[in-house]
Amino acid sequence: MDQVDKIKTPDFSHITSEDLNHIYEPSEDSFLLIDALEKDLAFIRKREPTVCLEVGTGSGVVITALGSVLGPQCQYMGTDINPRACSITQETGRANGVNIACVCTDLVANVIDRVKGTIDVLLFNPPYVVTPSEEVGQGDLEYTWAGGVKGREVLDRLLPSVEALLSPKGLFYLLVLKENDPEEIASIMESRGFSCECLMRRRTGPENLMVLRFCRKGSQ
Amino acid sequence: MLTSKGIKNVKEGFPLKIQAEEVRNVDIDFDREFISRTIPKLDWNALIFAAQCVGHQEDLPETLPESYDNDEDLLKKLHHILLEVEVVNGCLECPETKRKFPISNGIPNILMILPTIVLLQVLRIQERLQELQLSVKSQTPDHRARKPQEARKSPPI
Repeated sequence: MDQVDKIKTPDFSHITSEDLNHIYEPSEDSFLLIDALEKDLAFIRKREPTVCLEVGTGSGVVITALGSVLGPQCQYMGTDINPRACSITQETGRANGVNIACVCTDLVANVIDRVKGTIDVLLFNPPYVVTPSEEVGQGDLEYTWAGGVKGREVLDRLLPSVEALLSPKGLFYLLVLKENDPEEIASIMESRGFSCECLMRRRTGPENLMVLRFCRKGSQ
Repeated sequence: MLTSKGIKNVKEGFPLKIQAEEVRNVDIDFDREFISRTIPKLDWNALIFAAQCVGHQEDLPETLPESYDNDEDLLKKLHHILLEVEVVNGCLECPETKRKFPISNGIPNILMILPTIVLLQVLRIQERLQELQLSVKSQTPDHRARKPQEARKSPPI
């Protein structure tokens, strides 16, 4: 496959307004994550990835965008707690020529044991909005944005699994809000042997978004 | 790829038995490099078991030959079974508890569903919490930040 340096925004016109009552509409944060992956494409390609996993795929635009440039030599997998999101993710993949295997599960539950140490690119755009804890997971749309205390309650459940999931050269791309305390996240990951770099920032309305990339220390 | 290890008292929860009600074949372009790189990651016995479940076991050898990378025929068979045979509807059965996880529209659902009686108790507690929240809310102003859907209306790039 000829190498492409730009990521074209995937077509998601098949997503209906009824779908958007249940899944997260691709928005500025989704596009920021795609832009960051585009910026980091050379870095990713040097590692010759073969397995990419997105946790919480939603509409599937991000994993599809990555698949559209890395091509069929990679396996693309996604998880989402919402079965409708899984279905739409596969459709988004198909509409853009990317084959995505989607599983309906909570983060990586019942998946992690078999994929330990194999994930070369891990993606996560978590529900990051700071909300009261009770709002986390209260409905389809709440799953997509309610992040509880510091907007970290869902992310903090995935962080302990990242080290086990990633391959030796694995990369973890994470979208966060300033309120999620990225310095603390970086410090937690550093204690597990990961270095952190902020690849991109963007201010959209009241939100200060950033994309962090984690890789094992010494593997840069 | 999936296990039922999340179920209480399950030791391994792998491999899950595939009970396929509807299977379809799709056409995916053969990518030799992808198949070649994927083979070392496969649990061969689990693959044979899965292939048996969907009626494709006769295509694969009992053990993976060492010279697999030179065997174009085997690589194409693996490509077919890994990528082109899709279970559309059916279920995955835990080898230890026999609990079934549904597959619908090609998507396995391995969410741990609570037994009904526990679910009802959880729902009652949730209803009570909502009542309490409403009574507190009516007495105090709402200081919560706006939901992102309200903030994020700009069109895609």
